[in-house]
Amino acid sequence: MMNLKKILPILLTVIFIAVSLYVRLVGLEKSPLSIGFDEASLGYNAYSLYLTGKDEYGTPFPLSLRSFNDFKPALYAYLAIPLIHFFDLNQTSIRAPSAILGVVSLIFLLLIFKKVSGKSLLLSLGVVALISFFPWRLHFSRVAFETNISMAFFTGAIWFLLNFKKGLIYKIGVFFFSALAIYSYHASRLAIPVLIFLVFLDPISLNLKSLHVKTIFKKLWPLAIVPILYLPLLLETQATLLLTRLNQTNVFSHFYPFTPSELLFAPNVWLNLLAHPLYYLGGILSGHVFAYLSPKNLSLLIYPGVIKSAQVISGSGMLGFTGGVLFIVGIITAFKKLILSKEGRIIIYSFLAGIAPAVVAWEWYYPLRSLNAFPAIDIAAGFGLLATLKYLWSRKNKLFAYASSSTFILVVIVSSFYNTANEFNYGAWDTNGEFQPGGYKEGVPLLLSLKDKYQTVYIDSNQAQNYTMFWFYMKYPPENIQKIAYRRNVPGVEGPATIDFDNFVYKKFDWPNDKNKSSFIYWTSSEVKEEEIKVTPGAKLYRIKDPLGNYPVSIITKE
Amino acid sequence: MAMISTVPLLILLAEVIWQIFIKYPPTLEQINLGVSSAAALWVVRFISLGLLLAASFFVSRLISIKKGVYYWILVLASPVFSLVWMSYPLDALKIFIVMGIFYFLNRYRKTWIVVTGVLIVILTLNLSVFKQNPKILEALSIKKSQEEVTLRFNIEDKLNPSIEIPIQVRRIGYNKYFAAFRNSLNESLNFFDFETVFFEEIHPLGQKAFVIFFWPEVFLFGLGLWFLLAKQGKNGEVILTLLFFSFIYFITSSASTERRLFLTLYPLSIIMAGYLDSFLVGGSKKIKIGMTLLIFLIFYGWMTNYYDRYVRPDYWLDNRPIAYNFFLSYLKDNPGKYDQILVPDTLYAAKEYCRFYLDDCDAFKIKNFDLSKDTVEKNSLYVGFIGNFTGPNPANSFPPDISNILENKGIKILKKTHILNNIANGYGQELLIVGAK
Repeated sequence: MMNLKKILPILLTVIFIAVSLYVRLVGLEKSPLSIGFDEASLGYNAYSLYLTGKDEYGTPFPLSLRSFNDFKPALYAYLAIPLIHFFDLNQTSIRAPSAILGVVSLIFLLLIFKKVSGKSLLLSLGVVALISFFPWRLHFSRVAFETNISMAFFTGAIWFLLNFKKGLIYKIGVFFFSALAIYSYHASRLAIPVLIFLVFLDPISLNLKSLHVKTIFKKLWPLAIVPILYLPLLLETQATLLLTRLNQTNVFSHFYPFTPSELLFAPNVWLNLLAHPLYYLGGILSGHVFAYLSPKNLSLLIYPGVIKSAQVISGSGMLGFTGGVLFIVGIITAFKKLILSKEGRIIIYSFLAGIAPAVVAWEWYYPLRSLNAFPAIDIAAGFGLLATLKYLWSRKNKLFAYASSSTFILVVIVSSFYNTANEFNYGAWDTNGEFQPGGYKEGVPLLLSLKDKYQTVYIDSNQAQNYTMFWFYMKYPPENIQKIAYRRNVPGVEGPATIDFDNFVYKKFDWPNDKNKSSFIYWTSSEVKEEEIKVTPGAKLYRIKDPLGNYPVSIITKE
Repeated sequence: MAMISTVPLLILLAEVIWQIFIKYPPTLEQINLGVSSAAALWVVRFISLGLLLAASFFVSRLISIKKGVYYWILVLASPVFSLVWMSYPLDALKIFIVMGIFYFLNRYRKTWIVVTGVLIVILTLNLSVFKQNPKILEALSIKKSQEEVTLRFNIEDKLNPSIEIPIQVRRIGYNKYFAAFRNSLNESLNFFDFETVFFEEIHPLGQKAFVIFFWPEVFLFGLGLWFLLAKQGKNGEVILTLLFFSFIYFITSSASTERRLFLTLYPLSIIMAGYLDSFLVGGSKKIKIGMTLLIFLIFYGWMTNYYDRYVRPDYWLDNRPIAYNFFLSYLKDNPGKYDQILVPDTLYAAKEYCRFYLDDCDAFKIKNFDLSKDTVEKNSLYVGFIGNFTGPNPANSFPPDISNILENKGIKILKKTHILNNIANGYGQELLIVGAK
């Protein structure tokens, strides 16, 4: 009996890990339907590093991938290399690191929840198992997102911070996982120092009356180690360009002069006594923080600028409807516990650190930039789940207590089934379209088989930077792309919309004129009139069907 | 202390003076109540103000806070309070009834009587008396949910290739009862909306609603909540009950978001006001400085909001009354004999509004005219959006000046104005008064 008590939680943990891995890894080739531009770029750079030791621009073993001149942290690409080695370059191999680290983040979440809640492993496991089916937990682990792996490392850093005083190995663990987070996603480069600062200063419990500079320095010694973590990044050749992403996304340049223009009456905006820009800037920054505490946003919203792309969670926000309700209950019931204990405050600080990058970014609510805050949000939802159960279970009428508790658990379990089915198949209609190029996976093999028989391949697309999709699905030799790196845009500006390579030439579809040319292939998403192609001697039309039953691409060949 | 207790009165005075100064025209709700003169309009407005003050008074009697004056300051300074007494007398009446019943039932001191009684009142008022058609009813519909589930199955079955999931497993999550539950919960979650409650001055996430609280007040709310939860503050039960009523009121009504959220004004003001004094009196010097800064920011937000509503009334307020006011005021100031005054059905309430501005409304004719096709009738006055004169355009794109086009038809623009948001999609934002002799 004793043995079973010991073995059961471990056995269930193993089953939990296996199930979590399964739902994250199964069918990655089919769902989400197609990779996005960023996934393609990460995948192709990983492929390039694997084959040549250089990225697509020919930079040897970089810490940041220039990619679309957005300088993606390179760790994700390096993590994908072993998978490319064993399984070749495909959707599964490029998404698998995110899936695996999604499970790793759940293991850390389990350890954190157990420690902060003080509950048994079995109960904590039950809570985290239900959290593991939250829409964002499923979806972001099934897409190659650097932010997802960074979140996993960030969660690891939180767990080591919770155990910091236990010994040297935990202290090393904090900085090791912090470094991994920093080298996986831009947002963590701000979140990590903020986390370390808040955790060691512990401002909530700080006694302002007895505050001395000496005490502060003594508390904040671990912060001195943080700059060391950035050294390799700063020493890299193009270190100054690391600020590129910040320049592209910061709130200050985007919203200036902050006050609605109709309200500005003084020629110098800063001299407006009423509706002063600083008042509105304060509102924008505060709003960015509170947007991540709004149950409506957490349950129902995803950044609206990413509709019809793999960044979207189909028909849901990050936590889904059950998660949103549990978050509200959790915040109310666990607030005191979190504030009063050191462990609880670390969770609060991890939330604040997680949203810090999103606060200075221009978007109002953009979970991808603030994913590091979501483990803390999940923990609040976990507390909400326990509090609801406790409330129902403690009703005087035992029959009611059993029935209501079982119904509640049933609803959460059914939600998990719904979230999974929704993610696996139904999501295809919401994660494809305007921002998600279709037809590449289905059309590129045909293009590849034809391309050497014709002199030119014309590409007509309104999707910027879609060359990456061709390179990815064609497994195009990276050496050839590295050779044309000198032709590409200088860093500091957005990446070029098109790049001619090999016999691929970008041009607008213009059949009345083009039909007179010879030996070419056209890849076009334009409306092609089948009759016009049929009557042209030597021309042949292939329509490419996607899994939704649409024909997003037409391939035309002309002898 | 004597000085602080006069602040609510000063806020109220400023509010009334501002309303008189801004001269916002009557809303259709007020017109439909029989308002046909400026005097009647102000009588209705002051009755609405009285009802809201009484409702706020009822709430104040149920709470125990050291300085009730802070509660009054927060309620009276709220722009949504201003909006409701200015424009929506029936809302004021509803709020008065709900809070009045809440107040009087509290005398029984039995929670279940209070909750059941007020619940019945809210549901009766919203669903039966005022015939609201809230989205929650659609979300709860089993028939609609069945259709949604069938659609899901159908389109998922068309996906090729797809991830195979046994039908029995799919049925666990895809069934009409769970779909109805999920949809209604999704609809209810809109209540927990920080943006509409605290950040409408910034207009986040593309959603526009009237300001309920100024953004600095979110910090006051956070501090109040901290006190309430961490220090087991007073009024917890009243706050929770009021929040529950606000939630029911929200999900069973179908007006604009800020009107649906009106009742949250009370519990949130209590949370903020209840602990303000503790910080101002009991806090350290640094905390007092911080709180003073916060209060200054709230005061600044209050002033800025009046300025904003003065500069951009068409941005914040319903633009239909502004449109009616534009052409009916013109007709009042420029009386002329026309055989007919043609108004498109996008301004369908022109006849009702006419009674407020003019004595003789017989010439008004509601007709969705299109002068790009219709022949111009003599001795007629046309009031319409630019699309009524050039033909509608789904993209709302029209030439900036159409006076030449109209002159060629023998008609002349007498006056025009720009209405900020489209009243009628496809007809543009320029509202014209055009005469044909």
